[in-house]
Amino acid sequence: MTGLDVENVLEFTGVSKIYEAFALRDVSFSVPPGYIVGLVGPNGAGKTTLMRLAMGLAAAEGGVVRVFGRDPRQAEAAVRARIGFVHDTPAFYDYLSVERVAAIVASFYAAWDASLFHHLLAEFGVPRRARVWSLSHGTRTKFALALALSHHAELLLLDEPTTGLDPVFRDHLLDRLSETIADSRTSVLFSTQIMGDLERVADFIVLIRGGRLMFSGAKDDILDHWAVVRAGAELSAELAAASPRGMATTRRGVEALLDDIASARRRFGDRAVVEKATLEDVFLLCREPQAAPTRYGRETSGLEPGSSARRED
Amino acid sequence: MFKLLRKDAILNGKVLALTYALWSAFWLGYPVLRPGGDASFTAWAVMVALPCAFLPILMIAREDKFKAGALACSLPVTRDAIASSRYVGGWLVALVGAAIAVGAMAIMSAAGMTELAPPTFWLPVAVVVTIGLVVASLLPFTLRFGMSGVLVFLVSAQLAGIVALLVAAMFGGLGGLGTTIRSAVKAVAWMRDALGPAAFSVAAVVAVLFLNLASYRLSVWIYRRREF
Repeated sequence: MTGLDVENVLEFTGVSKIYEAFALRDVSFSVPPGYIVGLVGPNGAGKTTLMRLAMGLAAAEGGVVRVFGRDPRQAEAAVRARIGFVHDTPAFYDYLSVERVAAIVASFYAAWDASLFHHLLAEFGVPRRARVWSLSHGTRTKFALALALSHHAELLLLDEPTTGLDPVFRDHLLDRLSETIADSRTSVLFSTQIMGDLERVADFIVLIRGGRLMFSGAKDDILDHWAVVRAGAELSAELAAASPRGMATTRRGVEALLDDIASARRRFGDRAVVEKATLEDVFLLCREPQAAPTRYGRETSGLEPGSSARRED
Repeated sequence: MFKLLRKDAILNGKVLALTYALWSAFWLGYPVLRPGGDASFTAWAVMVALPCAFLPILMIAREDKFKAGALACSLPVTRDAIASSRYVGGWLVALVGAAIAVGAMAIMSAAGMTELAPPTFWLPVAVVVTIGLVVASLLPFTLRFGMSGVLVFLVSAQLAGIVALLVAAMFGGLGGLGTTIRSAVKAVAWMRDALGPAAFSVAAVVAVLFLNLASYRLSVWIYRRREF
């Protein structure tokens, strides 16, 4: 079975995971084939936990995790052979050289492409003979990215890969991710706190906060249809009644996030500033969990890569 | 399995070689520097096999030290394969360590450099049983909890011993405990005499292998529950 034989390459359905100080509760979203899904949330939101669940490094206590249609804890080797993974703090055997670590990792992948790996090392500026302990955090991440991209993975799970990278390389990496999914068989789940990265490359956005799903849907849908209403405090009650996705009190009054800009302009346009929402606005304001998860991907809309997705609800 | 063993060989080759060299110098030097002792070759080999049996723990602890367990479990291998490679690799490094030391000592004995009693039929059995008991006892804890698991196990074993001594002293006197231990030794000796040396050796090795199989099953079960 290839990644394209299943509707979504990665699916979380009602997933829960409870730790002493943190709990992930009832999280549902999916990653369709050939798309980049941006996973966003503040520190401690549960992004890394979701990545670990997808990799089978941790077990869900409730709900279902499916990668290529299979349970990553049961079909661990088969599933991970098709995944390229970058941990938020990449751990290697520090006393070995970059080349030696790569030789170890390469032996586990039938589809390992040595020439691509060496090309990526050169492109990313990772010294081949350097000991891993001597690499900076950014260079370690670049090394981890080169490893993840060198076995033609069908799903890339990248846990905050752009953190600690210089802006020039970040830009370069985002271009490469866009190129990677151009074959329509590779998908990317990419966690970050840098909204600019998501605006550039993500097709879908998943926002989690405090272990709960706040929103999942198409990026273009947000940018085209969502609105931020900035008004005086006297409109606070009326905005609250308009089923906002989030509200915040500011020094000048209130800000509300609404998911229908046309309706927002009709209702509040003459009394407040109504602007198209940015992803930054969504990140800052969206604090109400989504009533029902947005469905997207092949099962609902037969999306073609690059097209704008439509929400069902 | 082979890839995992190769990985561990690359990761630990130099450290193991250094350890073998240092330990060998100590082990071989001990009977040379203290001639005239009454230690047998077999007893000396058991003394060597005991630390060798801890070498698998060194390998796992080194991986934990670099927090690289997550890397191994992110590769396309099953947890079962990782656990089995720990047992196979662990036995290999322990047996190789013991074999190097015993081989060198045999050469030294033949050359008249030590006064150890000549090796007996029991030497390989004693080495295998010693390594097997340590590996089977410690690897499940090491795989699940890392080095801290080993320390907890060893400290717990010591505490259990202290409690046993205290209880024996309070209720039956230490003689009761001594009688129990002597009875166990007598039972083993009786089995050896009843079965004959060859059958007893085979039975001992088979028992240790079964113990390791049970330990491996336990390790797989608990390692699958370890989260990274």
